[in-house]
Amino acid sequence: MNSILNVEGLSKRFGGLAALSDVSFEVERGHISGIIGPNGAGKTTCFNLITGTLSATSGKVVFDGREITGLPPHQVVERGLARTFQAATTFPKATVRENILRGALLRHPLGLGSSLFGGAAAREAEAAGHASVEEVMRAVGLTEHADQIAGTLAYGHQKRLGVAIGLATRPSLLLLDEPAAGLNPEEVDRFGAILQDLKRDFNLTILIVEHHMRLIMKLCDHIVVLDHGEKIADGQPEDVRNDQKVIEAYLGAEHVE
Amino acid sequence: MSFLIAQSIINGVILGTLYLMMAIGFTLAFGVMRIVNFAHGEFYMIGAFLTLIGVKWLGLPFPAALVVTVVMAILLGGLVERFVFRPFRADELSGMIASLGLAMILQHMALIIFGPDPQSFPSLVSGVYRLGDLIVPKSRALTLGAGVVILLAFYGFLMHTRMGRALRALVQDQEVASIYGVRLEIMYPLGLGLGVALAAVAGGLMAPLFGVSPFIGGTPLLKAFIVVILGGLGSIPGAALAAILLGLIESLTSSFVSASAADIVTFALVVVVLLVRPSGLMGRAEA
Amino acid sequence: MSAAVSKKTVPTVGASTFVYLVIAALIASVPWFTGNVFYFHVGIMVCLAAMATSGLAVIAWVGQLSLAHAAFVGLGAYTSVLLVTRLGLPFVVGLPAGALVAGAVAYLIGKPLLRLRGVYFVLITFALNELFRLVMLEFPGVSGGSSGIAGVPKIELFGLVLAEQSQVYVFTLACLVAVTALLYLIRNGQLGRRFAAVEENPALAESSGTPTARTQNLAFVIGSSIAGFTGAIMAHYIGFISPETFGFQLSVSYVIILVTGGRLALWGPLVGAIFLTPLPEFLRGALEYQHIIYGVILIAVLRFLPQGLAGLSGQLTRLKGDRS
Repeated sequence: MNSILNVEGLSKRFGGLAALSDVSFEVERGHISGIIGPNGAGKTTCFNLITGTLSATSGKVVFDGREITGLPPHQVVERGLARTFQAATTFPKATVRENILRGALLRHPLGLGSSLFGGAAAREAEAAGHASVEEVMRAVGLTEHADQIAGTLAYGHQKRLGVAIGLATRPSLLLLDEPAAGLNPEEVDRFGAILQDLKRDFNLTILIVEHHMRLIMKLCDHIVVLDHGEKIADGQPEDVRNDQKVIEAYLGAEHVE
Repeated sequence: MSFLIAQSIINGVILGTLYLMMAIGFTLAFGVMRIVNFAHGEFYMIGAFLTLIGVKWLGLPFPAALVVTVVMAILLGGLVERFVFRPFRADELSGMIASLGLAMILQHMALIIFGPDPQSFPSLVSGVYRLGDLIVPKSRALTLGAGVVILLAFYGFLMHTRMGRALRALVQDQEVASIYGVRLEIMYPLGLGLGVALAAVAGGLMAPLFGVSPFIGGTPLLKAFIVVILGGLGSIPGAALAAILLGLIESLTSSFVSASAADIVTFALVVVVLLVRPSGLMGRAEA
Repeated sequence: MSAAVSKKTVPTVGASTFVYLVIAALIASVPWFTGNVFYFHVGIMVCLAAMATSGLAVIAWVGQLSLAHAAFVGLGAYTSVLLVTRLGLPFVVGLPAGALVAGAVAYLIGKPLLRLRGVYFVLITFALNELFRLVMLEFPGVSGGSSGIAGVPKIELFGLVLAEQSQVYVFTLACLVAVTALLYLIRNGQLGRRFAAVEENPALAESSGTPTARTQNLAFVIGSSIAGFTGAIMAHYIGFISPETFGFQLSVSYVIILVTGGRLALWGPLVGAIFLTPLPEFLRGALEYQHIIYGVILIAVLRFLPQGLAGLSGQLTRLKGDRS
């Protein structure tokens, strides 16, 4: 299997509490993979550990053949692993275009000198950045909102903008944290379609945390199920759907809630 | 030598009591309203002037003047909450900046009304208590006693009254408290009012010892600030521990080294605690 | 349309900016119209306040409010004064050295400091400013103690002593223009984008490739260097410094100027300084009223103009700029 991401024995403790214990899985290049699980299963913690937002207590993350465990988030994204956030997905005071441009900066960095005093390098970087922004905006369908302030966008559009910012960093693997939460059924379907287009057009691998079962089952090639910080299942959607442990975890969770 | 230590400890406890009275209001305002109140020291100053007016101009007995001071301070604190802090409830940083403005306004109003010169306070008692070699001026003993009584009364209020419980609930968790019917519209002004009243009564108690002027609020604010950082913003038990500790450190260091060394040591301690453990020695961890 | 947009690459000086420049030039020339020494003095104080506050603004652009700014002004002042009076170095060495020392100290303490955010950062900077004052008082051999250092030599540029107020005014004005130009370049370049990203959403900024810690530290170093630079000029103009000069009150006054002018606006420090600094100079007889006015203005601006005086027009400019 040609995997782009290998998670090996990842664990995180907060004080005495284990938020994630010994989780291992692989993400195959070119797939859309999903992480599901009841509330508090450790899905977002898992994301935070992979992207360096939190440091792991133990375990290893290998991305594209190189170990990235312990790298700060800005270096992880530089290697081509981008992520979105569940809430606070945008830079609220800037326009949509500016939001995406801030992501695109990563691939068009400038030294302090040319950042301050311009020059040919700065002009080139700006132009390349803007071109990239236009492409990403078109891909996620935000072009008509380009000059709107992000904080004033409709909720669904803010979620899409979050994806666009991640996309602008030109990742090979994109991690999406509950991108469909709070969207209505129609928006969820449209979002699913956009993701599949993005995967094709930007040559992406996608790893997605989501509660929305229908979307996950439809989109994903491969699913990892977490419960209480442990991996309880790992496989293709239909296998996972019929897995006894998974059914128990979800039923149990529903009974508690 | 041991006598000097004992003397220092007594002075330290008196200082600690004062610091605690200042710090509780400061930390309560943060715990309840998330306000870092840089005007807190000015209420100490106002309390001192109110007590002075009560005793010197109105001829009230000292305890009565203190009671008047407390009532006036609660009212003033409530008004300040309503008209200065309320608009910034969702915005800690703006609330704090607003308190800088409030401090300037209060201090310079006092300056206009009373002038810059320190005013003496008629002494209430004279003489000293002697315990072997130890000497405690009666005025200090009185201040200490009154301070302890007031702190105990406040503790009783917090622990055993409905309002006190509501305030503590707010410090614990804003949302849960409001679900359980704690009315923010009343508790916010009350919280700030009580907090500044404690500062004011501390000012009134200290007035006979240190005199009164528009500029006396600065030092108590600094001390409250230090205590609250060391104890953890919003934590009352933390403040209690830190206040006594600070009083003792200051008293001992200034007896054996120098007063300015004590200041530097405590501020360095504040910086270290903020860096290493921003939640304070006993505070809750911040997200 | 998209082609037109992508051409808008390097910031151009828009019409509104031009209007601002004309207004600024007019205001700057007021002292010459009056020819009065006092007006030159007020002009110098406005320039110094605007410069120091510009440094504070750079730090505010990454979302942090510093109450230790006066201490950095003080570091610059003491560095330059000591170099000039003790080592006999010229002011043109003392001035950059002041900026350098302030920036270096900011660099050293920035990393642990900037992990704190919001009110916690304000509190620790408040404590640091106190600590600076106390430590300076403790070493009178260096700082002159509570009686300070008097008779600081006047500003001297390559043999030319700026003895007249009008000369000093020209010099501080030129320095202010340079500092403002620096802010303009930061603001409109990639660095300004990164600053704004960190200010608005640090987690997202970090995850989209901006090293937030280093970016904040850079802003802190730039802002504090500007403070040190200002401090050096201030010391040699006023001719007297003491640890008390650079206390809490001075830090607070910079915060007031910044907030009144506009925390995130490019022109905020300048507008705030022009609006507030002349007040004490004209109200010398009634200092206490001046502070009450300051306090009221501060609270009113926070309440009704959260983006400050410059924020209003700044918003309009941005709307226009995005439409063009």
